[in-house]
Amino acid sequence: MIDEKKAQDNINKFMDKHGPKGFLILYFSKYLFKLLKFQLKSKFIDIEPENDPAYIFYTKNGKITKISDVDKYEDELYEACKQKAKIIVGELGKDSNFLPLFKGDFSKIRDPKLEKKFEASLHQIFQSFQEGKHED
Amino acid sequence: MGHSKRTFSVVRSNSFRTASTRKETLDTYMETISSKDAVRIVDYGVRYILPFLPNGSAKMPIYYCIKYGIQFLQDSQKHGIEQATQNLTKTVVKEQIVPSAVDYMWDSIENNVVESGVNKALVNFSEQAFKETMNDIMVNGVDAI
Repeated sequence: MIDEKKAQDNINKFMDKHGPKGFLILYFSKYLFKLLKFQLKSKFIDIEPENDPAYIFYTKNGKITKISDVDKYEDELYEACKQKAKIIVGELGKDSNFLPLFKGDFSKIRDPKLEKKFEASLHQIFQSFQEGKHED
Repeated sequence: MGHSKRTFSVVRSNSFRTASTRKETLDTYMETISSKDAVRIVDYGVRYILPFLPNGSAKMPIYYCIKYGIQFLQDSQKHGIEQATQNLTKTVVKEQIVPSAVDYMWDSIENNVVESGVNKALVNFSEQAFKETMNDIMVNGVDAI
């Protein structure tokens, strides 16, 4: 359990160093990680057990992997998600519509049209991944 | 007919319109996840999963998480956690402000999202990511990222 003073101190330090952009990168990293991990562990219908993604996730060459190896694999996945999150946040930051989000200007964040603009922009960014942009 | 008996139910996308493209994509997917190459898997994910997330039910919760998350963090910096939480919700138990702040925030976000009748499964990713993000920031501070 963390007390209010410590939590306050942590928020202040996080915002001083990373600001809203840091929050956005952290949020999108976790979002991508949750989404992909769900997909990696989702069961296919009518498929051989050894081809079940959940089985593949926890095995290597037919053997169950150690917990430490699963943790390492998850860390690698998270790190790769963080790199994509940085791209998404970088692209959002190029759109002047979202400067209020990056600057925390709440008078403009209350603009009801911003939600639709955000959806449209995020859709465009996600589409750009499909088109092979942002690849090394 | 050469229709494959296997059904690919995980990634729903326009790529799966025909049996042949579905099988081809399934094979690529199986090969990718079997590689255990994190960078390759995430590359595949952003290319074949992200673009097919629906606008309303998947992206609207993301917007509200971001909006309320940033608002809370900035209000906390200026006025403290208690005031920042009260700015988002009217019911706050002062003694439980820190452990409950994230739940209070999520309640406010959910109120905005649920009204639109969005797909709960897709909201869950936003919810989990939001709660973990806020918790990490409060517990780990600068090192959260």
